[in-house]
Amino acid sequence: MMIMLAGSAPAVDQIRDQIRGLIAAGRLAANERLPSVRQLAKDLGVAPGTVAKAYKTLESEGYLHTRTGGGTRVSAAASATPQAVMDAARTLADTSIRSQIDLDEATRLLRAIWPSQS
Amino acid sequence: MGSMLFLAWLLFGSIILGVLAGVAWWLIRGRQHRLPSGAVAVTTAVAAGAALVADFLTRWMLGPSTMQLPRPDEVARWLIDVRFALPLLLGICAVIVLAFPLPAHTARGVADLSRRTLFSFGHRRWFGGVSVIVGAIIAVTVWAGMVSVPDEEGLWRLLVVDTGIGASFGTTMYGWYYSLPALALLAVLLAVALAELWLIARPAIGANQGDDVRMRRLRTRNILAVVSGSLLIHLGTVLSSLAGTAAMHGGTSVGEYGFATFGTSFAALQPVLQVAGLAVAALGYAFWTVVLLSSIPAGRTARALARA
Repeated sequence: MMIMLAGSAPAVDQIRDQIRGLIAAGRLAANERLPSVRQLAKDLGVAPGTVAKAYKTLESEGYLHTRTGGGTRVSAAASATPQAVMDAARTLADTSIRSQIDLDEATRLLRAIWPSQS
Repeated sequence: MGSMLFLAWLLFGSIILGVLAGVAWWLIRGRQHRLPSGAVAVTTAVAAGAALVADFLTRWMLGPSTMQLPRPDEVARWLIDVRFALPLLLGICAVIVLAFPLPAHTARGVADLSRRTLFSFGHRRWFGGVSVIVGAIIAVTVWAGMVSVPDEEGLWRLLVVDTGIGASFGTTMYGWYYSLPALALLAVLLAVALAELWLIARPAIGANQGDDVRMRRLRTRNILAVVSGSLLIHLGTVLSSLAGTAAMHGGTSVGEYGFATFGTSFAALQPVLQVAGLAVAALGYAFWTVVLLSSIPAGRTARALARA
């Protein structure tokens, strides 16, 4: 799950908007732990205060919650994707790539093993 | 000829078994864990290869006079004293070499939203395995240390068997004299490995995310394999030594014509300790071998093994 800084918009807004977008699209699961302020700031090449501000805004909007010692996580109410399903989907993607199975083939396999509704 | 083979087996049995097991595992499952050619593959080959060669030469130097690598007596005496710590020392050196080339950190305005910690690029079972081995080493060390008593020089490396009839006999064993430096080295080995895992995890994910993550996983795996190998060889050496200690027995005259023999309280464990020592050390060498083989870049493995 990558975020990228580009264009002239302030970095705080770009970070906030992209994380919000990933949560809304279900690509970040409920209770998924985000990187520390320090790590994300270092990776993006911005000041830690910039990331901290973006996190704070998302927290006040109900997308994230921060617990002492537990880091910053996606709020359970903000994402409809359960963490276990997201982890399993990522494992399926990783294993498929390693086994040289493309997205269409992986989807076909998933459909084939999916229990029928009847 | 037969006796030479037997001596060679006694000296190098665990290395031979370990290398064979490592190659077998590599042929069956390991080829998917090849490093791409480059600096990391070179340092990996140097680290694991040097550790294996150094350990082999040490064993050879400590062999019986009929098949011994020429060496000064002082070196042999020193090697006997450090033989328990040597696998850990070699492991520390190998892990330090594996740190190179140091992963670079370049911020480029792109970030992965996953947390990166010491444990991010390794399977839980790899870390669990190291923890189990460390637990076993500590348990054996504490037990042996508590059984040992000071010798005439005041060094805790003696096992004394009291016959209960006014006589006692003793032998050198893996007591605190040997185990405390080994435990200190074990702590250093773990600290160096954790520091290196942190160095691997810390930099931002590179432009080619898939390759970057794969390389970090392989490096993490190799570091943990070298650490596991060192710990297992150390534990195997300790178990083999304790097997020798368990085999000690002595006798004394009882009454006018009687003669009684005595053994250690754990004499019955001797065969188990002997086999366990061999198997555990062999597993350690297998780990080192697998790391060495991972440095053969893709495409060269089959040709290299065919030539070997």
